Amino acid sequence: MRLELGSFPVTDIVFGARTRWQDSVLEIDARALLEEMRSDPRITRAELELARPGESVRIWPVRDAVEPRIKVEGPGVAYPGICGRAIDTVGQGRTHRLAGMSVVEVSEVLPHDAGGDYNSIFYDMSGPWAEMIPMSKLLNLCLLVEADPALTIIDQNDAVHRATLKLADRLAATTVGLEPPQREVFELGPVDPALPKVVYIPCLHSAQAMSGNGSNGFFCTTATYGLSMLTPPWPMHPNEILDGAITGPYRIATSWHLANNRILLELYRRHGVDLNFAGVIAVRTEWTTMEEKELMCLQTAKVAQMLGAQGAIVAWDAGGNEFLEVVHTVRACQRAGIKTVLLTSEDDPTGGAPTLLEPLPEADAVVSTFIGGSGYPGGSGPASSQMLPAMARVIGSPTRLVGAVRDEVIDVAGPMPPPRYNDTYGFGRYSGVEY
Amino acid sequence: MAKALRVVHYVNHFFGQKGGEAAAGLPPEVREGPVGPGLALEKALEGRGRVVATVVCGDDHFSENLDQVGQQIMALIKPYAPDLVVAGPAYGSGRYGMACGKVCELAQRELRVPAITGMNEENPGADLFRREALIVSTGETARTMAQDLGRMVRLAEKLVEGQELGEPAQEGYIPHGLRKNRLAEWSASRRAVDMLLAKIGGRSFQTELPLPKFEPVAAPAAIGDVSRARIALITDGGLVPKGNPDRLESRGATKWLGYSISGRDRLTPQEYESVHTGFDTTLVNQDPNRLVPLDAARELEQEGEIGKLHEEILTTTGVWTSLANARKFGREMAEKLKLEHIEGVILTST
Amino acid sequence: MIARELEKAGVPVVQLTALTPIPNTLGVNRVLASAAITYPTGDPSLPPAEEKQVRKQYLRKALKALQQQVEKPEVFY
Repeated sequence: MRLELGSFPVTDIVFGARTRWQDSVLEIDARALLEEMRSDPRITRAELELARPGESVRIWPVRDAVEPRIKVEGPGVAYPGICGRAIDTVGQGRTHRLAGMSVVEVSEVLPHDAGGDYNSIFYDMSGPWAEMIPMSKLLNLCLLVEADPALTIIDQNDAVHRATLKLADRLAATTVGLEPPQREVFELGPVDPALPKVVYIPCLHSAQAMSGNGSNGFFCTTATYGLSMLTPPWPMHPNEILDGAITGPYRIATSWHLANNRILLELYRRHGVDLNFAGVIAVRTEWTTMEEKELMCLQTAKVAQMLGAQGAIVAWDAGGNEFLEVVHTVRACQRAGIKTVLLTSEDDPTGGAPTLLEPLPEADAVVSTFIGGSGYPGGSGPASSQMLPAMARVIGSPTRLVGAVRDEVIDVAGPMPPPRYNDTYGFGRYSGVEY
Repeated sequence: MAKALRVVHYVNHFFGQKGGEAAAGLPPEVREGPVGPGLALEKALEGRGRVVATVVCGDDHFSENLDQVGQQIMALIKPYAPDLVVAGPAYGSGRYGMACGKVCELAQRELRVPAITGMNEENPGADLFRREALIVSTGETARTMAQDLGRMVRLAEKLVEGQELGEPAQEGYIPHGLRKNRLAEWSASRRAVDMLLAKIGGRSFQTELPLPKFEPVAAPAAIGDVSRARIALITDGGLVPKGNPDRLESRGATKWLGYSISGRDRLTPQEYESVHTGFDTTLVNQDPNRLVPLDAARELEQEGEIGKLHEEILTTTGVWTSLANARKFGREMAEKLKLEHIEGVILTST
Repeated sequence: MIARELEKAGVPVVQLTALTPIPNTLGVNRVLASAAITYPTGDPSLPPAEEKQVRKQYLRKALKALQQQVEKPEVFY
């Protein structure tokens, strides 16, 4: 499977009379594009605003961020399966991307209406929080989008995310027929057989257990070819992921993060250098019984063995009981003779690390991406005591419900506690250390 | 440093030259200037400070009344207006270690004066006070006193100047058991791949998150006969009366609550619900007995299989609850249940 | 952690949970496996009367665990 990724850098976005990419500038005909969004009768609001790195801007609430990508050669579409898109297997041919920007889905629509899972993510374009997240270094074209509240939550999700993808599609389409200024070829070609075979095991939270057993598998959260339900371990070629085969809005695991997955790129770029990248096994988490959890872990180790893995990197995108699938996968791999490293964030500077849930001795090699549960990791003190500074402008909703029982209204522009954020895909340089 | 540091030194009866075990019961007293190891401490300060006073106390006396004697010692230290309090080092001596830990904890908290001590990592005082106190890691015996005091002084000076300390291993102190963020040289993804290749290749690597250890807890003795025992129902599944009148948090709980079930033989969905955010509460909210099995427990009580059901359900939310809070809830619940003579608990968790 | 503290205080406790490894590795001595996270004491697939019988069975197992002497963390099924 060979994929050529052509990058079109975007150094500025301007609103103009037409939509085109030229000399690293993306020109956008906002009126025409928005008309298209609003042609879906389910959409009640669609507006565009631009946030630039360094501005005193807070974007709230962020549901997803999508890097515009389009397949110009090879089967399928970028971000397949989700919101009714084609499900052809992706990962071959040529894909174009607009680099250095994202389409941010700014919406009050909740991922689902059970289990108290509220929107909690915002981006600051400057200040200490902006230092932490890769999104703040991008030109963020914000789509303020809402759906008819009379619709089911599933339809509302479909409507707003479909609009986001439509916009990303239109923008990426500006590169069709153009020669990409930068190209990179991704192919798992033959390498020195002495190099150790390594697999990457991303553990993906499924909202199925929280969102009600009645919902269908195409629920609009992190989805593999559109499926977000609890599914058995899913072997994947890394190229599929570069084409957005795992995508969708959920907390911090945005489509942008998934398509730009740094762990995956690190393994890919070292393929043939000091390792042999044998593939990806996407594992779903938050099964509701211990038996199911254990079964998935054992099956994951089996698939890793079938891929010939000598080593595995296990990472996860959530918190709480999903850690059991994660750490039991580590154990199952270790027991199958596969050396394993776990990449995780930490929750609490007073020692509330996820490993507390079940400190299995097999988790003896852990990379900590920082303590972010209740605070951002700037400075040296306990993170939770620090508030993020006020911002001059808010893109999105001006107020937010907070508090233990969500009955306090706060001004989003004012000082804010940092959101929960895990560096699931290994972008940052932070690490938690004991002192 | 412009001004010489004013240091108060704490030592036990033995190092305070009051005698051996016979002197272990002596109450605290203060002496002007250095005593015993205080001379070496002053030498280690190399003229940048002097020991203005020494507090001496018997180990038994102190360790038997840690809080009370600790306060007395603070009262003795305070008039000297020190810039720094140094305790010990206590090496392997458990009672002395506890005393040094307590002195440091109180000096920082009550007098707002930087404090440092030293002891062996196995010293029970280290386990008890490492969270609050800065403890330099030492051997088990006083043979290395001069070097140890030198290391303590170097670290203490950083403390006084408000400098951030480096990592425990490099600075030579016993970790507080707290975590903070640090910028590493490479991205997490690169560190993960590097660590994996080291592990596969059999080379040494260092985990960034050591596994926590839990001391075993002795199992309480079994109940002889439950048909005569008082049994309480507890849940961490966020059960509350409908509408959540006491505002129990749906995650990161800061409290626990008790609700009377007197006169009730089941939990109805009209009256109770779960506010837990870590799982789909639909099934529990259809029938809260799926979370707290009151209906079945009442029947067993009537049928004589349970002696007496405690008339109060204790409840909290166990998701993203800090370890410290969870411990506190457990201690407080235990205290209350013991007062009510509860002999056994059935805890239902999600 | 709640169960640990109760045990430290000498109160016998049995913890019912679907996720038995968590209390088990924390050192809780009496852990009873329950069905699922979303319904610790029940079985929604059954009619209410039968479900209550299942619940009683869970409780009987819990009571039995409380009456059993244990030396180290044990999971009851």
